[in-house]
Amino acid sequence: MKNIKIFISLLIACIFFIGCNEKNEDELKIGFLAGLSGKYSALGIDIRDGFLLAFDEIDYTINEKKIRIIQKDDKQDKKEAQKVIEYFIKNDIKIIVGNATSSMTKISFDEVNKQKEMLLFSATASSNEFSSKDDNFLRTQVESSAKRYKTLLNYVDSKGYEKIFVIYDSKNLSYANGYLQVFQEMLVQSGGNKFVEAMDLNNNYETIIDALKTTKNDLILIVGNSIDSANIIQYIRHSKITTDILGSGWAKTTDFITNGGKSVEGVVFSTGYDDNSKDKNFLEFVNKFEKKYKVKPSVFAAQGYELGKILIENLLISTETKTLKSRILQTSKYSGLQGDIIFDKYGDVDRDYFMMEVKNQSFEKINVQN
Amino acid sequence: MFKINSIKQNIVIYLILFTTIPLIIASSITLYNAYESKKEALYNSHIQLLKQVESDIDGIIEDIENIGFYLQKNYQERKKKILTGLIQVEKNIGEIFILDKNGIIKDFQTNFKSKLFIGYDLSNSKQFLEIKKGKNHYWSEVYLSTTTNDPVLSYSVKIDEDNIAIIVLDLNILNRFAQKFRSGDNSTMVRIIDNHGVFLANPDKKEFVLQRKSILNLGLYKKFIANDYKYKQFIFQNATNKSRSNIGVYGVTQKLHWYVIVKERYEYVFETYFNIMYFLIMFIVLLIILSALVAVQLSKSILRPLDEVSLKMESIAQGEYTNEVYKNDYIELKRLIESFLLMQKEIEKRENSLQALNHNLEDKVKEKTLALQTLNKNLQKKVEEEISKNMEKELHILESSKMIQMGEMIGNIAHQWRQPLSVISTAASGMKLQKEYNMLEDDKFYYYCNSIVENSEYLSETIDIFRNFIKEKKEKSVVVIQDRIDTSLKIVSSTLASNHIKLINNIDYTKPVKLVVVVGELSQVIINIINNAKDILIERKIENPWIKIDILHDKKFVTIYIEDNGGGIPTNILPKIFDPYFTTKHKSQGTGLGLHMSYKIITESLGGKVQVLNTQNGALFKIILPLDINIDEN
Repeated sequence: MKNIKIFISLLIACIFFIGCNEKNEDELKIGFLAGLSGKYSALGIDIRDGFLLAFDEIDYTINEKKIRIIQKDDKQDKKEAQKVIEYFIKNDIKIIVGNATSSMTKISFDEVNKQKEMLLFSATASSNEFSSKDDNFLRTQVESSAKRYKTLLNYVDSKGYEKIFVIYDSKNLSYANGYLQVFQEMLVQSGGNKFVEAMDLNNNYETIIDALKTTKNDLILIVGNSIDSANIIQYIRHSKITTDILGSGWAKTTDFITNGGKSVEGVVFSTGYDDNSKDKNFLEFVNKFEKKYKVKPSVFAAQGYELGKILIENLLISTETKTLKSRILQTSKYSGLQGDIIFDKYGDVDRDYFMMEVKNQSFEKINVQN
Repeated sequence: MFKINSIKQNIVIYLILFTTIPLIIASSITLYNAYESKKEALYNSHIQLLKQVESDIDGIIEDIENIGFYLQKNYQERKKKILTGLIQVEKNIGEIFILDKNGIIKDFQTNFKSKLFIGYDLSNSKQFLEIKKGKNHYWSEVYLSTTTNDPVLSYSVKIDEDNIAIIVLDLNILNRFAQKFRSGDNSTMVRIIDNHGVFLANPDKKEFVLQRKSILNLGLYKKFIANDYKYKQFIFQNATNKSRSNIGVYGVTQKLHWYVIVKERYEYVFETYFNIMYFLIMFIVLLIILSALVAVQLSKSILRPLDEVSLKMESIAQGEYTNEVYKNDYIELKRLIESFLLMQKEIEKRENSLQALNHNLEDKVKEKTLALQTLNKNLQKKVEEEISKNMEKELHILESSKMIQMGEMIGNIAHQWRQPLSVISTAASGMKLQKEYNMLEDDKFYYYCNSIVENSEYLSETIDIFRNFIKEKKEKSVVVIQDRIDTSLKIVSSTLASNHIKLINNIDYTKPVKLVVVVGELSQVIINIINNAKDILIERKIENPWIKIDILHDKKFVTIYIEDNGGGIPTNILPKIFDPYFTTKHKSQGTGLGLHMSYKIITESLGGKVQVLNTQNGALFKIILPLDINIDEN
């Protein structure tokens, strides 16, 4: 009788096993959030595509562990960003990559730092609000610091600009504030003037043009995304204003040139990435990106890719997230697409900055005299 | 080893197997066929829908291209009015721009609130650049509209030398179109993706379109689209919910080579099927349990009497006999029990007769045992007697052998002494005679004396040789084989000489061969063989008789050859010559022990071999002795 019982039990167990055979795959979830729709999506989508390319190369597998990247759109909206980060916390996702802009990063930054094991990585957030803190945040973007604006300051000085009119996007205030505050302080410290005016890009274009026309200025500084910057520059030029224009790194994407037409010719940027770099790593990346997405990558795609590679390098050693930050900082020096990326003890990086100008529908490096 | 099985277990197992297995097989086949039919029906409906959607999409594209064609024909005449009219009438388009030859917007109509203005520079846009390069028309990839900030597609067409029209396709139109096709669970079935892998329409996840999400990273693309599963049915995992799957097909539109996926939720379309399968499995489980219960009951009712019979048999096996009558409703078992009871009685009968037989047998066994014991004692006694006789016989052989040896020895001594004694006697009598006649001169006296002394010394020497030969103890020592043979030859030399037998000695004395032996034994063997040869030569009255002796050796063995010209040994007796008491001689001459003793000495004491064969002259004895390698080294 004992054998019969075992036989029947086994048969029933087999049937239930077959019925309930659902694979419980061992996978590591990585949350990715950025502005993926609307006018802020140019930046987010570029970072996303670069970041995904790095994982595509390893077929989303690290040491036989599947990597699942959960993409979420913060829509450059604080409430949405809050929702997304809460979703990640609820789903016990320990590694978060994002956000694209500093304002959105601020939301995630505050939430992530309340968590024990969670880590936030950003490829583009540069606000100095996140600097020099031993927290759960690491970034491959250079913070808004005096060092970063040194070249820009030299450029402004060499051109003899004295009256700078600022147009900024209040929807990314963390970035705009960081940028403008540090830059203005440096201007004043070096004997220059404060900005003559600072206007929100979200104002009616006519209002901005009127202000530009009524205010004495010799340089217009636009801190906005690529599409907004291109649009306002088109309108400025259409309004026959020929003042030199300085763009922010945020706008330096291919969309800026595509949408800017001839109006954006001569616009200069202070940047840490050279679109025409001949660095072998960069050229290889461009090649892979074009092969996959059939378009040229922007510098933000390159930054997303670099961040992806650094994460992969460290996850290959161990997928354990508790010590991930210390592992990354222990190695500290990583080979980037355009030179090394060196983390300081707080997880911030340093990089040389230079000036680029739109010439013949592309970005070209320009020399600045000290 | 055979495995012992239980009938009960087998009945239960077989009953379960025979009731469930056919059911499982039949159910599996039915379910499989039902599944395949469902899949096929699904495939046909999906393909039909796919073709329809592809055709509709091509229709939408064609409509837009027709607008371009219409503008080419009519723009110059009606200009602004035509744009307003088209935007109002054509629901598929969101915006129309007219650019001048430098890429500057010179006219536009839009359904949206736009930040664009006449004079807006689109000279860097691909929509303008492709036409500028020389194309007459161009379909763009998905890009972010500066008007709506949403992804759009556009169709650029050269109207004339100065004007280019850009007709913007609102992707919401594709989404609305795709939304029409719904599955029974209300989920939408159609997805449209451009040839770069970017979503153009996904009514269930509109954000995929807004986020310009690519399918290039999805399993759906890697597994199926990249591997050209076009118009084939496949099952793929849901991109956002891994626990869900979809079943569908994909195709490619003719005009812009967009991917169109038609799919339904796998779990939903097969829900009824899974329910049937679930109930069937439950039914089978229930059937197995019922079969088990029935089998157990059945086995109990059938096997209880068998168990009782089995217990009864066990008690019989232990020697207990009771005549209980069993009752059973089954004919077969009743017969079995009756047969068993009959068998029981028979066994009892046989048991009794066996017991009687057993008693008789025991007595007989006792008698036989006694007789055997007596026989055994007698046999033992006889064996002991035979052993004793054998020992006596052996002793007798030894004694006889010694006596013969002694006799031969005395014969040899006699031969050896005859000549010198004759010389001594002659010398003494010569001296006596010459003295009597006073003729004994000093010279003669010394001559005779010397002769007597020499011969006496010779006799003395001979005595030493014989004494040494006899006295030698049975202790092994290292000897030079040539010396031992020489000693033996000295003993027999006189006998041979007196019989005119020539001794041909071919032994090489320059290379002494050392051997560990009991000294006398080797001499005894050689003397024995030579004496035998001598006897044959005399008996057969051979003319010019001779005995030849030689030795040969290598590193391992030394072989002594003794040959005569006596005509050899008859082949019929050749195998028997070493047997004890075998002789060809007259009883007075031989005992038949000489060669037997020689054989025993060579094989047992000296560890060698002896062979005898006939040559053209006569018999040849080969004594092969092993050499101790260590002797030479030492």
